[in-house]
Amino acid sequence: MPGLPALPALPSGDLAPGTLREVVVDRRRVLLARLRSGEVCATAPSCPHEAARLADGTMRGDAVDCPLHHYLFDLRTGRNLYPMPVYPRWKREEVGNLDLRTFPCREESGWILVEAAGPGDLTG
Amino acid sequence: MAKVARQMVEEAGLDVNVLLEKLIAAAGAEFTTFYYYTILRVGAIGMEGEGLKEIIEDARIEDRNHFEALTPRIYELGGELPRDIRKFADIAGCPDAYLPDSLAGGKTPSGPSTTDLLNVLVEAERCAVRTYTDICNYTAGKDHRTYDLALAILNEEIEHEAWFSEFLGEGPSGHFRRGAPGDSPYVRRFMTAGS
Repeated sequence: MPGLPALPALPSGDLAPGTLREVVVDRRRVLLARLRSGEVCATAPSCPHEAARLADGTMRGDAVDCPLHHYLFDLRTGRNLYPMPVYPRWKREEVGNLDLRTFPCREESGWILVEAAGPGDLTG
Repeated sequence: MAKVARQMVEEAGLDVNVLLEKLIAAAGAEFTTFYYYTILRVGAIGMEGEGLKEIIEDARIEDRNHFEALTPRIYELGGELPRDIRKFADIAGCPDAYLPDSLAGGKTPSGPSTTDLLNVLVEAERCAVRTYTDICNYTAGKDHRTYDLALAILNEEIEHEAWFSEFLGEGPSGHFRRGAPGDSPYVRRFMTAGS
């Protein structure tokens, strides 16, 4: 299946290593992060737990630390690094796995391009 | 409320409402963790659980101490605790430290279920370490009293993390347990009422 068109989200120079930035790409809010290594990641902008704005969070290594409950999400994979298997089953069924949605992205000609089409809700 | 104390913080450039949100979320996390750690300590039984019981109790009592130490600062700055305890639990700044399924029904921790228990404990402490690092970073050089308090709590949370991490085989903590349960060697000086 062909991917979505990659749309310009932000000039590459506007995202320094170790920083987060919320942008709008084709009416969808997206969180951009540049890891210390220089790699750029794109994810949903809000925590899947209680929709806190992740751009207000803090980068911890290659993860974002939610400002509300301090869940940690791997910015490359979106995986919730809290060990959810230790959550009781009834709670996991209630809240889901709480992973963060990610979007394919790349840099080209001085721009960060993101594949994220269409209007998005708070959790992308 | 301490009007001039709050004014000093505002004049230093801090958004006191943001700071209060952080402090109330932290107090909520301490209070709920105290509650959950009671359940976890009760479940720490048997050959493997008994070895954990004392440090769970140290961490449990110290988390309650942290709540006690944070509360006056919240009111000094013009904030207040939520009047409904359900709301307080909802805005707590860390995930709930639930008893894992593998220990439900009074099962004795053993092997993988001991690891489950330790993972709950260590992740709760890691959340607390991130919380107080964030508050220290926010207040450093601007709100000396809150910084001093958050740093004292951070010192204890780091020790708690190291204790549980040690049991998970991640390396020695480098220190011993408390002389008396929940001694709070760093936070005790902020607990000025009655102790």
